[in-house]
Amino acid sequence: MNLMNKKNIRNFSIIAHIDHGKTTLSDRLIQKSDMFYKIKQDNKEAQLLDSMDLEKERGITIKSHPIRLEFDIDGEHFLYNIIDTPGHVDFSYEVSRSLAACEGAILLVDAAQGVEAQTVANTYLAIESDLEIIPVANKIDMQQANVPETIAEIHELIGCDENEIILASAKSGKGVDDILRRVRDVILPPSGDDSKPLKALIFDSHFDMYKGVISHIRVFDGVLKKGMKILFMANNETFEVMDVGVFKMGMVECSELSAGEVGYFTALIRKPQIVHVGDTVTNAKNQTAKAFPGYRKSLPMVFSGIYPINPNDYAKLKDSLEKLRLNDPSFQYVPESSDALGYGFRAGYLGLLHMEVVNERLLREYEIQLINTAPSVAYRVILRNGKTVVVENPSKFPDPSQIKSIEEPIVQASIVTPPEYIGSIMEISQNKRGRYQNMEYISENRVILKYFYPLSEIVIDFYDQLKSVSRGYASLDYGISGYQEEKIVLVRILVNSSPVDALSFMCVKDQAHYKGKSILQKLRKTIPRQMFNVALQAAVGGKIISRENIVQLRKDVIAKCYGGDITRKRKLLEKQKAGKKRMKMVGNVEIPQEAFLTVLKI
Amino acid sequence: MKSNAGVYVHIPYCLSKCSYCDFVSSRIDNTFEEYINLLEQEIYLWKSKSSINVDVDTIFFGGGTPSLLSPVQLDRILSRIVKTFAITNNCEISIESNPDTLNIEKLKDYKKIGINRISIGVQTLDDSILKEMNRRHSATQAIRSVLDAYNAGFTNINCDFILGLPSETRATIDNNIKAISELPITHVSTYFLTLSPNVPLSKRLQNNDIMLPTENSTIINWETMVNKLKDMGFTHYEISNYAKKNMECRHNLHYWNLDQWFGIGIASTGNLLTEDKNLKTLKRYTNFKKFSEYKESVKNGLLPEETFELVNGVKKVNEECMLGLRLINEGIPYSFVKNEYKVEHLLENGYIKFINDSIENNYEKHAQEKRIGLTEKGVLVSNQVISSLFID
Repeated sequence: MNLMNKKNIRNFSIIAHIDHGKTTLSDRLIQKSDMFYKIKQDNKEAQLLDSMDLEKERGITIKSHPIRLEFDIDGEHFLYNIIDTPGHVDFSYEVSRSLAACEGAILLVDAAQGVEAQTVANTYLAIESDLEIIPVANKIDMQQANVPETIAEIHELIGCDENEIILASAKSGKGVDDILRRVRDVILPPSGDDSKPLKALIFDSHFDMYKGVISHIRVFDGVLKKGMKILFMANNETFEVMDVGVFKMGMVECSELSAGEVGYFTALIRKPQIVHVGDTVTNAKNQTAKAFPGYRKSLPMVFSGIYPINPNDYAKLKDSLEKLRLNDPSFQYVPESSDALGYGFRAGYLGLLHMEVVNERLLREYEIQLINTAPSVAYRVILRNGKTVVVENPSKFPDPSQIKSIEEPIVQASIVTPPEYIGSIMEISQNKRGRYQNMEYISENRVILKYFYPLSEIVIDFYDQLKSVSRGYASLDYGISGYQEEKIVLVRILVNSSPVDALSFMCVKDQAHYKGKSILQKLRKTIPRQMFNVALQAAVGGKIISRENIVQLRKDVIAKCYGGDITRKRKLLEKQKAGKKRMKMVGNVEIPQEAFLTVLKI
Repeated sequence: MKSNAGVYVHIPYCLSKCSYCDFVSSRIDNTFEEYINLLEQEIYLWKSKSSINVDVDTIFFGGGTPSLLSPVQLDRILSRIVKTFAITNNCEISIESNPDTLNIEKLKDYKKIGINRISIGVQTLDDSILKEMNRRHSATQAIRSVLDAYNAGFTNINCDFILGLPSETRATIDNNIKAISELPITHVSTYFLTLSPNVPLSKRLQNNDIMLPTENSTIINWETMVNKLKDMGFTHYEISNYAKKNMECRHNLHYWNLDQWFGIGIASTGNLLTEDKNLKTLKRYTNFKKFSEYKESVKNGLLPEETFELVNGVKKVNEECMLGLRLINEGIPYSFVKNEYKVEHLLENGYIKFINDSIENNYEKHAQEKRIGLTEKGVLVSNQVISSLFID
C-alpha cells in the first residue's frame, strides 16, 4: 500500500459536541473526495458515518468508524484518514485512544451553541496528545449563531489567533475547502519507520460473524502483513493475521499496512475481550521495545440487574448479551438471580448513557422486554476482619455488623454553563452532595464550574436536572477521581412483608428515609390495586423506616355488555390479562414492570 | 335444535345529548325521515340472502332514542322486518325510550302495532341529578311514563338506572328503590356510571364543580340495590340486569348466549354463523357509522357493512367465558378452567362459587357437569375474575 507517499497522508479526528455538525462535516468531506462518485447518490443515507439506528436517532456517535478518503488538492493527491470519536461523556477513554491514533484534530464548535464541557475535555485530551488543532466555527449561517463570541471562546480554549479560526457551514459547504487545505498545511504527515518492528495502536474494534474480531488500528512503525504472527502486548496473546485492509465506505482488503496508515486486521479472534482499545499490536517474532503509554482496561462504573420480563426469554437474553458484547467490549455482565425477578444478569456499564444504549439495543435489535433494577455504583466495603469487598449489588450487601466502613466512588466533573445558571447549578450540586472545587470564565458568557460528586449521585438524574435548570445550555464531563468514606446503608423494600430484592438499594444513611418514602409513594401509584390489601414497607436493617398501603380493589366491572359491546369488552379483558402476564408475582402481589423502573429515578 | 335469532335496529337520534354520553348519536334533524326509508331498504336487502334461514324471536329498537319514532314510522320498519324474516309467534319486540318522548296515546299505538316490551331510561329519580346529567325529563315524568306504559297495556316494562352519579346519596338510592317497589316494573337494568374523559360531565368533575360519590358509598349503594331488588322478587340474572320471574330480556339473552342476531342501521353490530358450520365460526359485522357512507351503501343495494371480524377458536372461547359469567346463574362449565390454582384462589376468596345444581330451570342442562359462576362480591370485580380465566 505504498502507492501513497507518507508525506501526503493526514490522520485526524473531529472533536465536536453532540449535534455540533461532526457527521455533516464528515459527509461533506466524503462528497469532496475522489471516492464519492462511486457512491450512488440515491443509496446514500442522510448521514454516512453513523451506522447504528440508535445513534442516528439520538444524534450520538457511540462507535467510532474510521474512513479513508482521497483528495486531489491543488493538483496533488492526498490521503486523509478521519478517525471518528465517540461523542459522549461515558466514552472519554475511547476518545483519548482515538486521538492518540492521530496527528491532528479539527475542533468543531457550533456557533449557535458555543464551547461545551465535553468539547473542552476532549480538546484537552487532544492537546495532551500533542495534536495540531484546527479550530472551526460551524453553523455560522444559522440565525442564532454568535460568531464573535464563539471565536472568543475558541481563542480562550486553545489560545489560537482569532484569524486562524475557520468560519464554516458544513451544511451549505462553506469553509469546507478551507478545512481541506488547512488539514494539509497544519497537520503533520505521520512519521514512523517501516523498517522498525511493528507497533500499532488499537483504537476500536468490531465483531464479524465469520472473521471474528476486527481490530481498528493505526500503524506507527513497521508494516503489518497477512500471515504475520502478532502479539497483543497488554494481553500477551498471539495470533496470526488473516487479512488486513482499509476503511473506505466499507472495508477493503489490501496487502499490507505500513507506518502512518490506518486500517484493520482480522486474526480469527473469537473472544472480543482479547482486543482492548489502547493495546499495542506488535510482531510476535520481532517485538517493539515499548508499548504505547496510557493503556487501561475500561472499567464499568454503573451496574444494574437485567431480567427478562418473560422468564422464557432468559436463553434469548443470554444469547443477545453475548452478541452485544462482541461489538462492545466495555459492556460486561455476569449471571445473577433474584427472588422476585428470577434468572437474569448483573451488567456493568461505563455510565448511564451507556446503560440506556445497551438496553435500547436489547429491546430493538433483539426484541427482548426487560426489567432493569436500580443502577448502582461499586462501593468499597472494608470489613472488620480487614478485608475489602467491592459491592455493586444491593443483594450482596454484607451483614452490617461485619462492616467497618464503606467508601464510595467520587468523580471530578466539569460543567460549562452561561453564568446566569451558576446559582441553580450550585443548588442542585448541593443536593447531590457536590463539593465545589473552582470556577473559571472561558469567555464573558461561559464559565467552567468544577465539582467533586459522589458517582452515585450523578448516575441517576443529575444530567437531566442539569439540563433542566440551565435550559439545556449547561454541559457536563466527568471522570473518576477516587473513593471517599461515607455512611452507606442498605434499604430493603418489602411488599406484604416479602423483601423484593430487585427494589432494594444502597444509599447514604441520611437519605434512606426520604428515598425509601419516595419509592413507596411511587410504588403505591404504579402497583395496581389487587383483590386484597397490600402493605409496602421500607426497612434499614430490622427497622421499618416508611410504610404505605395499597387498598384492596373492590370495584372493577363492566356495566353493560350488549351486542355491539362484546368485541370491545373482550379485547379490554384480553388486554387486562396480557398486562397481568407482564407483571412479576411477588407472593400473591402482581407488580408491573413500571414499578421496577420507578426505583431508577429517586 | 337450532337456536333462534334476534334483530337489532339502531336509531341514532336524540333530542339532546346527555352530559355523560359518548355514544354515536346525533341531534334529530331532517335526515330522520330519510333514515327510516334507508332502514326499510336495508332490511329488504336481507331478503335475498338465502343463507339466512333462522327464526327470529326477538326484535329490539335501541338507540339513541327510538321512541322518537312515531307509531307510523315504527310500524313501517316493523312491517318490513316481518315481511323479510321468519318471525316466531311469541316474538319479543322491545323499544328503548326516554320519558320526555312518551305519552299515553303514543304508548297505546306502540302496543297496537305489536311492541310488547318497553325499556324506559329513568336513570335516577332525583331532579337535581337529572338536570346535571342534561336529561330532558323530571322524576315525576319518569314515573308518569311507567304508569302510562302500564295503562297502555305493557306488562313487560324495564327501567334503566345509573349508579354512582354525582351528588348521589343513600337517600337517592332509597328513593329509587321505593319507586321500583311501587311501580309495575318487571325488569331493572343498573349500570355504574362510566365516563370517558371528553364528555361534559368529566369536564365538570375536573373543574371540581361537582363530586362523584366515593367508591365505598357506590359499592354500598349497589349492594343495597341488589338486596332490595331480590327482596322484591327480582332475580339478579346478569351482571347489570334483574328480572321478575320469566321476564328476562330474551333479546339481550341472545347476546349473552352468543346466539345469532342481525344488526340493522347505522353503527349496528350483527353476529351470524358463517357457512363454516362445523367450527361454528361467527361473523361479527358492524355497519357504517357515518350517515353518508351508510346511505351510499344502502342506495347501491349493498348491506352497509363497514368492518367485520371472524369469531372462533380462542376468541370465541373467551367470549363464552366472559358472557357466560355475566349470566349469574348460568356461569361456565368447570371444565372450561385451565388454571386450577387460580380458580381455587377465586373460590377460596369468595369471588366465584359452584352454581347449585338444584336450580330448577337449569337442572336438566347442568346436572352433568359442575358449573362455576360469579358471587355478588365477584360481580364487583368481574373484570379481574373474567380476565384471569381467559385462555391464551
